[in-house]
Amino acid sequence: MTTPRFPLPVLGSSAPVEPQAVDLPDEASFAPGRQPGSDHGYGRSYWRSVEEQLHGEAALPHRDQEFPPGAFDVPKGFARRDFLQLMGASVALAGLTACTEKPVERILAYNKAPDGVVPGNPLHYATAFVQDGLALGVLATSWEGRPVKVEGNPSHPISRGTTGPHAQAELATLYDPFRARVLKERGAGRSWRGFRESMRIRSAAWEKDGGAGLRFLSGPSSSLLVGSLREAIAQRFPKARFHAWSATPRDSVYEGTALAFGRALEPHYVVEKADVILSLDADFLEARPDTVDQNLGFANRREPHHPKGMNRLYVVEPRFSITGGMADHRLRLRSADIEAFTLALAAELGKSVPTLSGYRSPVPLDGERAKFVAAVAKDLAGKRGAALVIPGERQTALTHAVAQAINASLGAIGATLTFTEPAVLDTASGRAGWQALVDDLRAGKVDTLVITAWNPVFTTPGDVDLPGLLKRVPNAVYLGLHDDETSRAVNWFLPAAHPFESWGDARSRDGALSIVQPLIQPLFGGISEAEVLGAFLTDDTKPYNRLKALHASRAKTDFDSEWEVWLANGVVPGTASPAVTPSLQTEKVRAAAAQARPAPAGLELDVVHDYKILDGRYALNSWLQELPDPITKVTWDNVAQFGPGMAKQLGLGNGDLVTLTVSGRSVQVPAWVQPGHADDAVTVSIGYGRKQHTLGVKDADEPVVVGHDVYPLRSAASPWFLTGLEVKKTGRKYPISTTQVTNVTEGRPIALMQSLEEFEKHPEAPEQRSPEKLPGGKELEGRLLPSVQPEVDYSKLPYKWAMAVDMSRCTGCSACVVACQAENNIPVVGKYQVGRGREMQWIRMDRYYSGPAESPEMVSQPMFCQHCETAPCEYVCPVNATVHSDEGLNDMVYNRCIGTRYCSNNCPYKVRHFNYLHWTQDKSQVEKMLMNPDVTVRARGVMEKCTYCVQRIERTRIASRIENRTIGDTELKTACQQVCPTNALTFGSLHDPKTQVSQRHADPRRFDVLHELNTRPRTVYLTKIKNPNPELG
Amino acid sequence: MPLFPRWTNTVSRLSGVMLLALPAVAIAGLMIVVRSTWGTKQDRVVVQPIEFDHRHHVGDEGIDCRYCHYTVEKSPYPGLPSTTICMSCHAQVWNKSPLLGLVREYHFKERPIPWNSVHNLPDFVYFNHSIHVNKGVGCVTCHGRVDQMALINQKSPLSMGWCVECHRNPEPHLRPVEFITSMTWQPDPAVDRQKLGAQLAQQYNVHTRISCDACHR
Repeated sequence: MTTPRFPLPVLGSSAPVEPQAVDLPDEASFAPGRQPGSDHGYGRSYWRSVEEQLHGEAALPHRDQEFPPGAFDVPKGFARRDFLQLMGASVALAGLTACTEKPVERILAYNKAPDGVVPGNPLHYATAFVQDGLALGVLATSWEGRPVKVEGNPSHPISRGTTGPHAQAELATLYDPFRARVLKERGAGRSWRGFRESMRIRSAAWEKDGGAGLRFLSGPSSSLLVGSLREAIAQRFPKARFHAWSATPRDSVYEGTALAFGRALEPHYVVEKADVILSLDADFLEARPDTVDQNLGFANRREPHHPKGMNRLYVVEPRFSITGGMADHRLRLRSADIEAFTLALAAELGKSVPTLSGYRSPVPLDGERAKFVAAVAKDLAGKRGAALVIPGERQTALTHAVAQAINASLGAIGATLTFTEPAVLDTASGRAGWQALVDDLRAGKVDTLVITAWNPVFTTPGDVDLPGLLKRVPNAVYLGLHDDETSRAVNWFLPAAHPFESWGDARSRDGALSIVQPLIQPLFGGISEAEVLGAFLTDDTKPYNRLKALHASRAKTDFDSEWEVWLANGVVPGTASPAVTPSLQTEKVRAAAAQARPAPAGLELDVVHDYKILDGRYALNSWLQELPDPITKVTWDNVAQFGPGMAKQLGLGNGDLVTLTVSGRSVQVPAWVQPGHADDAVTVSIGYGRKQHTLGVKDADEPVVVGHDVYPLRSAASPWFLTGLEVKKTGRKYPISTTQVTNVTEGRPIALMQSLEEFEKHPEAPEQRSPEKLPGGKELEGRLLPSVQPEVDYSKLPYKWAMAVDMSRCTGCSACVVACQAENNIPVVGKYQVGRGREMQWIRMDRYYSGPAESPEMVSQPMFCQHCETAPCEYVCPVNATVHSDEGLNDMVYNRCIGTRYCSNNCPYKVRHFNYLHWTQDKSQVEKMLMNPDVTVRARGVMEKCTYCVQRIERTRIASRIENRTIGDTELKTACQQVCPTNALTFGSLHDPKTQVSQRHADPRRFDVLHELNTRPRTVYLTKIKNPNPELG
Repeated sequence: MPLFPRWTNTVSRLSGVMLLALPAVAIAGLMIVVRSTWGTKQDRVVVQPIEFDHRHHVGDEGIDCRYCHYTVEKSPYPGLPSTTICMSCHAQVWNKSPLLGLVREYHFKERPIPWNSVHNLPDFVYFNHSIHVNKGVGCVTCHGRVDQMALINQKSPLSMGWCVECHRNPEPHLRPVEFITSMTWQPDPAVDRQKLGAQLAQQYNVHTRISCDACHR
């Protein structure tokens, strides 16, 4: 590849990077990867994409250009001469600008100040974030009645003060200006009263026939209020039916427990107590409302100094997941083969565990897999009472049942695994939940269908023609946040109130009840699900009053005062479901297992929910769309992930548009070569391919199609995986914007990883272990590059702020990226600009691989401003816009910045982000409500970067200084630290040796990234430690 | 006869000087303008929708600043009184006064009174009232003799130089917190002002910061 080192700028012609096809060499060079320990990485080599792994960084697109494409572009339609002419004129006119008066600003005081509101100080309200019926307790930060930030609720059993990325981004959905505002009947505006009247008229007929034609289709819900309303409706219209639909159902969990224990139960994996964990395609480290608590439990056992020792994680999965990235051993396997794997494991365990005898895999496993099964079985059997097998939601009911049988036989129940009754009302929200409805629709039995599930017309599998079926329903009602595919297929469309705008309740996975309280009046006059259901009853009580009446009996003494306490704490005490001890139906499971058939051979299509937009419900959430996928680092798109071997066989490279065909249905998706992906499977994520408005993107006033819709490939019978996939190259390329391989590491070790064994041999800091080398092999001989900056004495000041990131804990879930975006008013730039390297997120969640492309290990490293004590950015700024604070923060002074970008060029960590355009201009009033008033909104031409949440430091400092005390260790948290589900990030003062951050700075695993540059970063990292099984080598 | 007459020498020298002097004068002029009271908007009359007279309320009646500006000790903002606070007195006194007609109208219509802002800081500056008031910087120090103002106007330049000047040497501006809202408090002339300030600074644990992040976030 010959590229001119300094290409001439071509005005306005640079497009997102056209990815280069992977030029795959012969088999031999594929297998070993680059020889480990050759020149970098303290015994390991790291790489970030397949191209880099094969050919080194020279193969990366734009390797020879120091800057990404477009960096040299000047704004369109603006020539140098015009610029000089305008400059002359503007200098002449500059004096006149002072002659215009700025308009007088108004101050609007309260008429009557609400209780407890202190203007200028935010309040925190407890409520719940609900996803697929499961609640995660959150605290919303509210400025004068305007929620601007969501934090986890420390007193909530699942949240424990943290959240995942979706909860963080929920406010971007609340303030989405494209939310529906008008209640419509067949496209014409109507009133809520008109709708109620229409339903009242119809109810006369339903009362006669018992509501035989009345159907409700909702998302899975755990709301007791919704449950009571359903009961009331069922009492009035006994023949009415309720169905649940979710594109990401957890049915197999309940079907599996039903098979294993006789009734549907909710498993709770106490990951912290497990020494050995096997994940069967279970992504239990994805921080969603059902798994947030498992993150912390898992991470606590990833510290080599944990008194009970490190845990060991085995993962069996087709694609590379977040959980797979944390695995000590990972076996890539088609989804269809995991059932056989589970049975083989049971059979292997059966040799030593009598209760597991009699299992048999339908197909014998070959060499590598057999070895893996044997090693896992031995490890699990050796840790009775501390072993855990977690089956994934995408797996079959049989896999779940056998996994639970293994758990029961290994003494997990009561130790590492407990069961409760399910908190959700709808344990069947997949095919089982709605097949009856589809049959009734086909038979024309449905007269009124009330849809409160999210956009079923879009999310139905390709083999069900829901829009066609809906045409036969005379009275279809849809409640949705947006005017979407479903709203166009029904005759009544009701704009929904956001959960943060309405009263309700929800239960978490363990049953703990939270009252969902509104944080703001409905912005667009939306209607809640409870109100819609209430329209089918005779009394029109407000949901708030229904809710209070429903829970009145829970109070032990005085309801009204207890109610206030419940609202304040966010959890109703004593509502968690008691653990049940089910007895295993050994014979039934064994009989079902005997029926297992070998999976058909062939290429498999794996459908997964998207890490960012889930099933598409967050497709309009620009924070999540712009968030790089935790694994692929793709933004604003979905891709078809191919294993490196399959990609080589088909001659595919990143961005090659391919046609995927299964069961006669086909879609086009860009291909992506994913290291570690199974070669006999292709993974696609759902939710994309909708024509949509995207919030916050300047050049997208018109709706655009984002990504590719793969729902048509799904089948109702087997929603998660299908064999018999055919792949055809189209020969066309599709531009993909990623955030990963835009910079080069020059072969230097950035994120370090070690095995426990290596670590115990040499517990000292890794950089002391081998002589540091400069690129080119020249040894530093213990010398650091000299700094041009003077020594500063930080000992006199009360605080010395610093951060530490434990990479053993970090899963790369990227919740911190969204939390930072919400806290610091970070703009969204859109796919086109991300493709030019102009993303603004202050945290770049870097992902490195190590090892061969087929089965690499992954290490995630959040990279943000390191707050170097001798910061290279500072001495190149001509206007002193970036300077050091007395406590060691690298301050960025926006109002001084003139946008030379020297600082960014001189930053070795590439963590500074430049406002190439005025991203925050032309924001609607609704979008402006999302802004944190404590942080400056930056304009065009200004550099910005992580500030260690200086606004939080100053607020806490002022509060503590008014009280004449120092800031406590747990009192001050940065936004990323507060959200982190694994407690990977710590922040505090280094002056106190007892703070967590001081302890991590003193940890033997600590290392400074690029320490040889002598930047002395205040943010340090702790090596990722892996705990491999010696038997698997 | 030379090509250019002698006087052209003067012209060329003069134009040379002007070439240097004009930009310098222009820049200096601009700098003077922004620092002038006109540029800082000091002492400028800002008309308010309601003729609220601080002279009467603070001077004559001796109402403490914090009665109306009720969040000044706990929030970045001093807190503008809600209309309820106005009405708590004016429901009893002057409850028929035509001067207060708008107050009653806004109160009963439940609309906020649209006051005009007098002290405007740029949006990238985060000033916090509570820390200053708690550490012995009196209201009068920055806002001047409010008890003598018919209409509130800005007494201090509110420029960064003015802020930093006090942050570099806060002692002469400190006063005992019990006199924080007093408009007339004067230090005992017998006591050295700097010494008193130093003593108060120690007592209140005053640590002024001049790092950028103290005010810019």
